[in-house]
Amino acid sequence: MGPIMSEKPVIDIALKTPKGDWRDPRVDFRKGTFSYASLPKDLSALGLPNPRKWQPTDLDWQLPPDWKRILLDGMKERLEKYRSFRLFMDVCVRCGACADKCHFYLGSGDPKNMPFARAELVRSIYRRYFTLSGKLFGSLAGGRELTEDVVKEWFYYFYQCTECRRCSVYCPFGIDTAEITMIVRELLSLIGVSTHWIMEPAAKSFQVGNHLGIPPHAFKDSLEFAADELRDITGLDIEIPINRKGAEILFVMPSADYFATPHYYTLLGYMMLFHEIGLDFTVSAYASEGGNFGSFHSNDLMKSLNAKIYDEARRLGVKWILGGECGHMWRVLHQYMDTMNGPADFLEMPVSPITGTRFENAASTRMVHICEFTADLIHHDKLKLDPSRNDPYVVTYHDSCNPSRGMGLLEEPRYVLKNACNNFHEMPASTIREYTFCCGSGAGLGNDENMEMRLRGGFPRANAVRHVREEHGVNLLTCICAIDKATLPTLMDYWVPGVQVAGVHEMLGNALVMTGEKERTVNLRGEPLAKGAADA
Amino acid sequence: MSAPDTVLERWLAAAAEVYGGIFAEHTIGERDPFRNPIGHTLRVSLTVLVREFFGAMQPAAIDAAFADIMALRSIQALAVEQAVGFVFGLRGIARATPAMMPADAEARIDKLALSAFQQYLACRERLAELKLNEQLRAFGVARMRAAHNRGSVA
Repeated sequence: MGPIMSEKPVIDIALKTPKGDWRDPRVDFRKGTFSYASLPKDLSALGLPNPRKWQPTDLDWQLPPDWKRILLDGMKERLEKYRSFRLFMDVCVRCGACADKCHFYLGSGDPKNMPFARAELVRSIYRRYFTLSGKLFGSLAGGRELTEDVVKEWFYYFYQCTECRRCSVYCPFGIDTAEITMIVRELLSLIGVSTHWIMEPAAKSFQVGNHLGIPPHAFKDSLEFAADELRDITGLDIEIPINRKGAEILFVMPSADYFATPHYYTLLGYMMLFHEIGLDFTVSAYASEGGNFGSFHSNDLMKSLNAKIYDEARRLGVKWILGGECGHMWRVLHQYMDTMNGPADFLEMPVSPITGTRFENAASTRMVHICEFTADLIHHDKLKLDPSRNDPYVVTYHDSCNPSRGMGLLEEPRYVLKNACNNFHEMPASTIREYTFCCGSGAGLGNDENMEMRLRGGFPRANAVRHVREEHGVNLLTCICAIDKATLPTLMDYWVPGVQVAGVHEMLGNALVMTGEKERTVNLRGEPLAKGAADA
Repeated sequence: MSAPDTVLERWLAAAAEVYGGIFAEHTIGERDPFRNPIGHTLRVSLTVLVREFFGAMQPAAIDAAFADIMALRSIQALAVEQAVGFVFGLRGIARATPAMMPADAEARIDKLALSAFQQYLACRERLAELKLNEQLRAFGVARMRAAHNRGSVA
């Protein structure tokens, strides 16, 4: 140690509130942190207002001349229609319980990503235009003028919220910030402000039946390819029936299961399971998409895209519906489908044809989650599993936000995993189950132009994965959401290299000992099985 | 408080300063790694860097610690000088407490700064790779089919 340099003051760190006024709506659309705007062709295809070419970086967003009236009328209508919306606008006391619960706040430090502060962006407009004090005293009563900059601010921040609802778990008033986000996005859609990554899949779903616009013959090709793959792996001829009238069960999955990886390995797992138990099922080339990007845009579009599931169930004459691994698909099915497109009184109470279990929890929707169905099979000892086939994997489980917080599906996926894998480790308690951290890419944010924002939002989840990687050597992150499967690999590659991503039914497919199968030498990814398992 | 501990706390405060306001306070004060992943990452990595600053200056340890910090700061709403600038904050800390510092502190800070810039750039380059790989996975089944068909023809 020795003396160096001249004496100068130590850096003075002042812990104070941010410079400027939080009410200033101006935002910086920095590349990598926002989604591109929707294209006119997609808005036109869906009959939505103000189709035009624009981008968030444009100075002029080409809003309709009467945009302000449209927004305020839209707000008024929704305040009258949804009692919850008015309640959420009125009851927040800014206690701060939600402040450090949002993954985007924890990953970015942007104070407007504190859930109460994000809601305040619309609450201030509510106060100004819909409360007496705001009308009389304006900003003194916490009100703000509705300007084009506010529209841009709404777009920036409400397309950062992934509607994961983690904040609502901690809110003493039960304010559901996700619903506030849904309503603000719906308001923005009234003036043609929406994103390409949501509207293009929604338009294709509306026109063709699935997000990529895969026509029926390509859908069939894709499933036949899966059957070929399964023949190579198991030596068995596995049929995947399409549009078969009179089947007992309609199986609906997210389209990513048949065009993307690693989703595809989950599809292989489903089909092996159905073959092994002799399930009388069909898939539909029309209801070839369980995912519902309409839910990221507006209630009407969500309802319209969801309708095909019941329509196909009715047309094919099935008794009930089984749904695959997907996140927001299940949010819509579980929370909204019955009231939007029900009642499903043309369907029967779902009963497992193998175990006889009545799924009373699905009495209204008549739709059962694949993890509930499989866990029930395992519980009744109807499947022969060899978990040692998954021994190369040290597994953890990410509770996808919608199935966990949205529908309480916490135990069933874990039950399947613990029976299909020998090496399973939970992430810390404050980051799983109902407290799970979002992947940072849900609710339509999972596009590549928004990559930096996604990596910020996904950091708290990745941080917990890194913890179990360091503690237990975890090398596989499992989940039951198609968006997770699309975006968590990127998150892992960036934050926790060496951790792969898989669906729960991929693990099940690996472990499933099928009647008449050939000696299994590879897993569903074509990788060599664990040595002990392959020798057995 | 020992010299390394003093430097660590002051350097952590300097690193958190860019966040401003209550988040800077949260970053420094909240010790739960899952309620404060940024602060946790900064504290763990800066602990390594301070150890190296007073110690052997091992390049691998320095690069790994900056890799974690720059993974964060390269994708946050920070200009390059904000993301990396805190490294030079060590100069001010050293000047304020010269008796505690290594004799060649200036040269050590320069080496740390170079590593920080290198890791920042590496993170930015990885973004392009991530985007490409994500697109490849999005059409993974089509690629598998194409590979399968090529194999059949061959």
